[in-house]
Amino acid sequence: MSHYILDACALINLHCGWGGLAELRTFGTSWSIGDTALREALFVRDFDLNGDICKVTLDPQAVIANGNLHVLTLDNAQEHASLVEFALELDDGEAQAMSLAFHRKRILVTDDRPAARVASGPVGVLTMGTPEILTAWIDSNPQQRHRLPAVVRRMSVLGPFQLKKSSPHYGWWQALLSGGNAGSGV
Amino acid sequence: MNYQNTDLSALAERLLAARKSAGITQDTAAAHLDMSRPTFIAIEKAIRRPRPEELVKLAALYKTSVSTLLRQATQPPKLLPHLRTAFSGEAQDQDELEIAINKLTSFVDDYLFLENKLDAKPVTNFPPRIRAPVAPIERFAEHCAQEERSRLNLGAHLPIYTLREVLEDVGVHVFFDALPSKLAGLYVFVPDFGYCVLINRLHPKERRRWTMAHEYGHFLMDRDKPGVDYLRPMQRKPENERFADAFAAAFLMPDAGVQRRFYEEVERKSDFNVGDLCGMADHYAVSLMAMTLRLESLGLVGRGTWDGIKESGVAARDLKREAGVQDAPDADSVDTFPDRYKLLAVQAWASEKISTGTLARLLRCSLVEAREIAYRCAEVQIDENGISERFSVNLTESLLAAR
Repeated sequence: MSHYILDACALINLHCGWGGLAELRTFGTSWSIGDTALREALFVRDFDLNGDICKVTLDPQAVIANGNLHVLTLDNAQEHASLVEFALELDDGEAQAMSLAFHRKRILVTDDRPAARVASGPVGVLTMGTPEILTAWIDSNPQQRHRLPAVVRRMSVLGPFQLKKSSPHYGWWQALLSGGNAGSGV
Repeated sequence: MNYQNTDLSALAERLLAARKSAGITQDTAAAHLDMSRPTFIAIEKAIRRPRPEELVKLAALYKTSVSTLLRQATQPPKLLPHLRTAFSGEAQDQDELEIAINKLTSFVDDYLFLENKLDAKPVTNFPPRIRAPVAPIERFAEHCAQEERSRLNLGAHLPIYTLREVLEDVGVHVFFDALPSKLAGLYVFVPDFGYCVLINRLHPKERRRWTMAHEYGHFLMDRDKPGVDYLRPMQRKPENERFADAFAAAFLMPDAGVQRRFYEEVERKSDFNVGDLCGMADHYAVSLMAMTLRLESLGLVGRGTWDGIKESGVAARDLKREAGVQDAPDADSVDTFPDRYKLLAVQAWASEKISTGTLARLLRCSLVEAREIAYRCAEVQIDENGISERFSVNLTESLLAAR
């Protein structure tokens, strides 16, 4: 079974897209988040009854329960040492997630380019972005495919999260946003 | 670079600044790390490198981030000692002042970090410093304000509604934040960075504008001398304060413009009443008191007019309402940070020099809000100095030349 660790932005993206994290339970994998990243994901946005965007304060305990997330903290000198190394390039939440991913052999879910750059360096942490998580979601839940355009639109508007043109998933993402046929994924 | 190779002196300096900013003693910090005070002092003296877990603990204790403590390229600005010397209030106000100074220090530190990250040149095309002549300082301030309005193409008559924008364009870094109500603003010149002003966001629009103009007067006359401005009037103001006050009055309410408007009203109605005063204060976006005192100083209304209004006991806002003057929204941004700062932060993020977490930290907002700001600014181009070019069309381009 694969183990994933979310950074705060990935959590926000998925929460905005799905309207919660319950879909994480359908993957058959384990999901975790560092305590720093959990504290950073203070707010998301959602549509209110009138269709207007509103700010929603996240209750950490509800988020944990909803996504069946394991909250991780650094618990040894090596993990702290790695956090400090990564904090030379990243903010504390991202650095902690990277350290946890490195030492506990988890796949880091991040859309942050500086974080992905650090991960692909000598440290060699595996990463996945939000588009890849969505693809995996559809692959393991084909009956949910019809929801994908709406999920992507929600992420785009509420996140707000947009892919850079340089992303290999850009065309797929844009096709979903414009309501076209996005194929089977990336 | 790795942690063991980072500059120990720079780290020690940041740790020391962060501890002082947090108001924590060496004893408390040493106890927090479960070490002796001499061992802790060795860290602050750059003799001993803190272990990673100690650094993480100190960041938590000082309510800062490990990533901020690890900044290497820029030093934390030392504003506290300078601004403390400008403090002239009661001891109980000292703590509140230090909180305000720490806010400004943190803003400047982040600004320097961004300029360094993007290799953006600091704004240095400051107006020349003014030397006070042996002459009445108020008249001289009037002259300086007229000259400055002319230099900045503000004309001799019109109000300056976007005052913050005007000041930022001439290189003044204007920050807004919630400060204790007694505190109007702080100003300090930081070498290799520029003149910084922190304005109390909680004050009314008119008060904020007055403080900004007042601090700009200090910038022109005594920029090397930091200062703290309180709401309470001083018994006898020193010359530089009198200059800044007179400059603010003349800059916001130019002699020619005020006179023209005054005589237009008088000609139209054969009178000038309290209601007209309220309308004029609204026109120049200044307080009723500032407007009345300005008219008094120009000899347009009698001395003591303001005292009379004040003694009536009627609040200025009630008078304005009675005169049919509605509060207009502030034309200026009351965002914490100058536009240039925000654009530099977004530029650093868009060019992948900083992470989203760092962007949020620099903008003092949540991740969602940081991304919203970033996407909103995304179409704004930034030149090498970090100045925004909002339009792809050059506004000075001739429309006749192409005919």
